[in-house]
Amino acid sequence: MSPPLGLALRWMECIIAVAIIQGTLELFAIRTTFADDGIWRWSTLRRELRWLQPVLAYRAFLGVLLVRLLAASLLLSGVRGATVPILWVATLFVNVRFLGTFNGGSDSMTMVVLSGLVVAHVGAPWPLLVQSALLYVAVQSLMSYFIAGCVKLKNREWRQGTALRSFVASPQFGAPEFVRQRLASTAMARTASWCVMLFECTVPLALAGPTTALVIISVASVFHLGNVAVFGLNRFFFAWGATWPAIWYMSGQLE
Amino acid sequence: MSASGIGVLAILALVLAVVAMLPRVEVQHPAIALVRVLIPSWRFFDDISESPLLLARVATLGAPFGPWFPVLPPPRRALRDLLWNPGGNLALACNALVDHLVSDLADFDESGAIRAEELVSYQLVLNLVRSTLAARSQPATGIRLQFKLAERASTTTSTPSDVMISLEHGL
Repeated sequence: MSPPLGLALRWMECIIAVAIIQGTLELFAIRTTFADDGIWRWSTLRRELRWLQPVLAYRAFLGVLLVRLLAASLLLSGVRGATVPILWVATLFVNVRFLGTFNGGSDSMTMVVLSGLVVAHVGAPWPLLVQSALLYVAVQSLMSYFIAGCVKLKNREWRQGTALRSFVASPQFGAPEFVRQRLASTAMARTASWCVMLFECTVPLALAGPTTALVIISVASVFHLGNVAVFGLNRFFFAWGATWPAIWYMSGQLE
Repeated sequence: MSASGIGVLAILALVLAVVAMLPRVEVQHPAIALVRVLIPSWRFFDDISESPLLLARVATLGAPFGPWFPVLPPPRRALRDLLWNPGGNLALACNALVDHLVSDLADFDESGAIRAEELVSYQLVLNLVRSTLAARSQPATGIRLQFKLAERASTTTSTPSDVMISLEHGL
């Protein structure tokens, strides 16, 4: 059985709030990198972002992060009102400050969830609008797995397992040594690649029903935990986790 | 799910699969690139070419440059990464900066209207090198630095080839 609409929405709010709190605290931890003598120093970015100086110069940007942290904490404690629109704007500012995104796909999925929540909150008096917002989040999430699976299937290196082995061996990810050693075997690398592609391409089957959805969400959580362990993609776990209640809910509606 | 529902889902999946097979289209306009977080592509790990290696070398006043050394150390994985991984995410963002510079250099305007060192992505990578060097060594006057991007060696015996070498800069 899938959760009721209100409960699914609340779970989405809580998980995305945790994701944003965690991501914002991490940004505070590396604030020297966007200070006035850091990597993303304002004097370099000013050329492209001059018109946003009042919100994106170093001290103002710390204020944006603080507002984002407070709004996410309020959302987690159940305060709605303007919290989600504030989070949407603040999160967009954070990404613009890093000239597009700081953490790639997880930033995009965070915006997808926040966009869905904005529509759901604004359209709260109209259940159809709330349902449409959850459908949007669910479809984006399912598409993210499915498209990623299709582009890998198209690629010969992925089908042979050499692409996965190459990513795992790359020093830029710092994958654990035992994973590198395991995937040094051609058979193991090929098996792991096909498991990833098979999983990603079959995720849309979650819409077949709540039980199937729960099974696929369980596999997805293991998949994302694996990505944390191997590639350090922890923000993806929370950003995608916030979409799972929408998938579970929609699986019950389309049954 | 009903048979018609499965049919609709299958058609949607087919359309998506066809779209996913099309070549990636990069957004070029700077204003749109700034808000690309709103236009996800979901093509994770489709580009199997590795990011080039970022190397730097330094010279003290009046001395020749020392050997090239890697600027970005591999991130270390730990159990706490799930909840707390600022260093790992920073490392990924720094690698994305290098990729951004490579992409900008590929689209570089050869007419000479703009020099490579005027690119924002070049300046950001220079900031990255300066920040890393400043964190590693004591500040001193007259230090010069240079950085380069090199393709990663495909085997342990082959030598990485240079993608670009920067001008000399002060620390």
